Amino acid sequence: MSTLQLQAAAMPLAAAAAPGVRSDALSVESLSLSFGGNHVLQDISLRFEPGHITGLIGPNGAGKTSFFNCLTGLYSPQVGRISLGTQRLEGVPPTGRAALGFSRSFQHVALCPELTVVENVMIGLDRQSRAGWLDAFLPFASGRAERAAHRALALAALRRLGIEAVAEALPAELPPGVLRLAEIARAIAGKPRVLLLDEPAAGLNSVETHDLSNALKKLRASDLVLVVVEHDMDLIMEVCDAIHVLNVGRLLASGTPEQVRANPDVVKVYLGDDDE
Amino acid sequence: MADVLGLVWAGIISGCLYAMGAIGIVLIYKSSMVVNFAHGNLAGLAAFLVFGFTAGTLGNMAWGAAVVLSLAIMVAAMALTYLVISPLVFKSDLTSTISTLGVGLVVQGLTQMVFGPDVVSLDLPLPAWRVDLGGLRISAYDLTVLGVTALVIGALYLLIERTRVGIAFRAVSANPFASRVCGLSLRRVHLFSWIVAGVLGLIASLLIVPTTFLSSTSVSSFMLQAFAAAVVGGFTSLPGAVIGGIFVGVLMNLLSFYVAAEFTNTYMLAIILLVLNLFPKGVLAVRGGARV
Amino acid sequence: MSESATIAAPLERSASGLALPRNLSWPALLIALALVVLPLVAGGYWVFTLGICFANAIAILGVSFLVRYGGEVSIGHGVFAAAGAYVVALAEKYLGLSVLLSLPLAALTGALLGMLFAYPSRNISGIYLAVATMALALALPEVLLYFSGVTGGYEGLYVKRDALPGVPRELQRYYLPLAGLVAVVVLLRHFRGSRQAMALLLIRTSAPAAESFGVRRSWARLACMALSAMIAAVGGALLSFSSTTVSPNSFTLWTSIFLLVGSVVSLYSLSLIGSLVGGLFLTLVPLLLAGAGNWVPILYGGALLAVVLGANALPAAWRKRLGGGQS
Repeated sequence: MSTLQLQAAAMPLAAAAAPGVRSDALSVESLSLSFGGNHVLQDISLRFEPGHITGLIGPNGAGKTSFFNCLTGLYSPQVGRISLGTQRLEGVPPTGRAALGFSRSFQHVALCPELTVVENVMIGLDRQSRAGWLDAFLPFASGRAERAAHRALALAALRRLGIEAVAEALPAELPPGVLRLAEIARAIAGKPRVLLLDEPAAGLNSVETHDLSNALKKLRASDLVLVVVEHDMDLIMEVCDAIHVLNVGRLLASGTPEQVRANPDVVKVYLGDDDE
Repeated sequence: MADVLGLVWAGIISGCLYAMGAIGIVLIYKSSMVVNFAHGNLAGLAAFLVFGFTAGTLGNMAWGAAVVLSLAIMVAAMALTYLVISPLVFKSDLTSTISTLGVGLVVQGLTQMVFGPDVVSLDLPLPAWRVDLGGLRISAYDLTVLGVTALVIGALYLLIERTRVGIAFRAVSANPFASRVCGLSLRRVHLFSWIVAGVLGLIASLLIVPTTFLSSTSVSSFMLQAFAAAVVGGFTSLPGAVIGGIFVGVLMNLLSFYVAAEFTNTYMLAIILLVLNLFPKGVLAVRGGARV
Repeated sequence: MSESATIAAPLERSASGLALPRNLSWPALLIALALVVLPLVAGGYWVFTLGICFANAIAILGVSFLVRYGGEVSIGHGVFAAAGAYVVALAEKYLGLSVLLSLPLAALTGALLGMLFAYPSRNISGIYLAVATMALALALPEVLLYFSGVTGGYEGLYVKRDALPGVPRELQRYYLPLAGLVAVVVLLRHFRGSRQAMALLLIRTSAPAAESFGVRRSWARLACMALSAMIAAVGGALLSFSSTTVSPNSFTLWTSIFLLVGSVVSLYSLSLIGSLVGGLFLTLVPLLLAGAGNWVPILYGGALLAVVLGANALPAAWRKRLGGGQS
């Protein structure tokens, strides 16, 4: 069975979107990426549905990060199409994808150490801002109103992830688990259409991973495509509705967590690898 | 046609001197990741010392003795400079670069205090000998510059490729962390490159002085050209510094003659911006990891 | 006003731990008031000197702004200060405008020049950018002298027109720069809470992160350069007004280096007190050492080394501000 067929058979029907709410899927067709003679990704086709949390796993060197970078526009694949709904994404740089509703977190926490947590989260709203340079320097009413509104939205995002209490703290004062949640808050503050999380559990202890898992489950929304790249199998199995497995640049398997867990190819690839 | 040839020849000669200044800058940068903005002032001080020792301000020695003594003082000065800023060298490249500005200011002040702000002329003990070769005028000075440059480059090559300290230098330039793990003394390599750079600076400034007057500020303009040469060649490439120097020398001469002579530094600015936009890391940059 | 108390999370917070009300801290407010009253008690010498000091402080703020928000070091900001100064002088000579009217013009010119330099240097950073700014600073006197018909050549130009009719000359030359300094500090304070400031600070930490939120590197560089050049131009404009003359001698490479020295001595501060410290250092040292001129560069250099080496020995929170977070 082709991977797409497996996928279609395995997944429950996506909840019908409310009229007026855009709920486009992120689809990838025949994507190939190589650097020099090194084939990093080969002929990958898959689909990320809105309203689901989709996991992307695979052993080290499988090409997960490269695939992620293709999705976000940091890399340009030589072959293949990436589309959000009907919108083609080839050639659109990261800043352009941000404008289309892409949002991501990073493997190494990329929060600004000089800004408080809530200010860091407010950056997630930057592309929706209409404040110009005059508003930046002079206390005009519209500028102040926007600052207050964005601050409220940022606090709401923090509340959604359960860390509103640390809004005024600086990153240096907080443990990595909280920082990771703050980064995710920043990523969702602007109500993105696509949220890409790159190893969100990296560096977290089991308690923090548990908090993360709960937070992620609450992020499901019918108008959001949520993709998680992870090594932590427990987190993936618990949180994801669908999982794609990459190995040496190719798509190895797709399906629900139970199907992937039972898939002999996947088991073989992971045999001998320690789960983190 | 003869004009162009003469301009190019003169450009090559002055280019050799820029190259020597640039090599000094690149040596220091490669090993300790510091841009020595004090290089011009230190080299100028060296030339002033030679002047002082030969013309009576500080003594009345023979030329050779004066050079040797100045050399010794330069070595001490470079070592002292490095030791003063060494706490910063291992911490932040930007801050240590800023501190070299401080050193430059101090040296500038010292030079002015001891030798005054006046312009002096320093003559090299060279025969006033000239020959015409197919429309090209070659003087003893030109040959001296070429000869010294070739000697210096040759000696440097042997030093870096064949001696232990040279190999250590190459190791530290490529990967300071690994070098330290292998037991190399970073400090010793840094001192080596700073001292050699100082010697090169002395030689370069002594050779450029006959073409211009020596004042406490004249060497700075020369140094900008050396910086431009280092930038063109790629700050991390020693052969690049040589090529950059000659390129800058020739281009400057041509521009001064054919466009306008008053815009030396403006040309430098244009060259630097142009080259860095076309070749972000210089024309011959060595690919290496950045130390943060 | 309560919202600005919570939004304006200042850069100073990590160092002092104080929550800052309104747009000026209490010590700064007190000092500002003291300065307003000072001419009533101090002599003419001090009034004149402090006027120049305030203008220098503004120029230093331009350099510090580039360090704090752009992470770059410039030894060419004298060029932007010169631009502001010459605009004021030329506006007076050719258009008969007083500094009050030519100040916005000077600021605009500074911003344009900043963008003009920022564009070809937008991909250059660190030491390469520092070398480019050095070339910029050395190129300026050449340009000024070439167009000496307009710029007055070596002798330069005079700035003699009154800005505030009826007010004694010396007081104008004191209060206008003081007002300018306070205005710039307050505006920068408000700027800190803006989305542009937050974007600039983030892109210094992580360019990929900022780009994924739509903040472009070229935008950041152009904005930083334009703003810092604009601030320096305002400083230069007020400098020409308070010192009454403008000439290429006032804007050499050393001027730019001294501006950096002032910025380092102030620990790259964007506050009133910090910039005053930098400005005082820059203005008083040559005056106090007027007899032994050669000691000036030695003292500047020594101070720069002392501050940089001394700050190196300080705890991490301060050192992070010096090193600028990224090298």
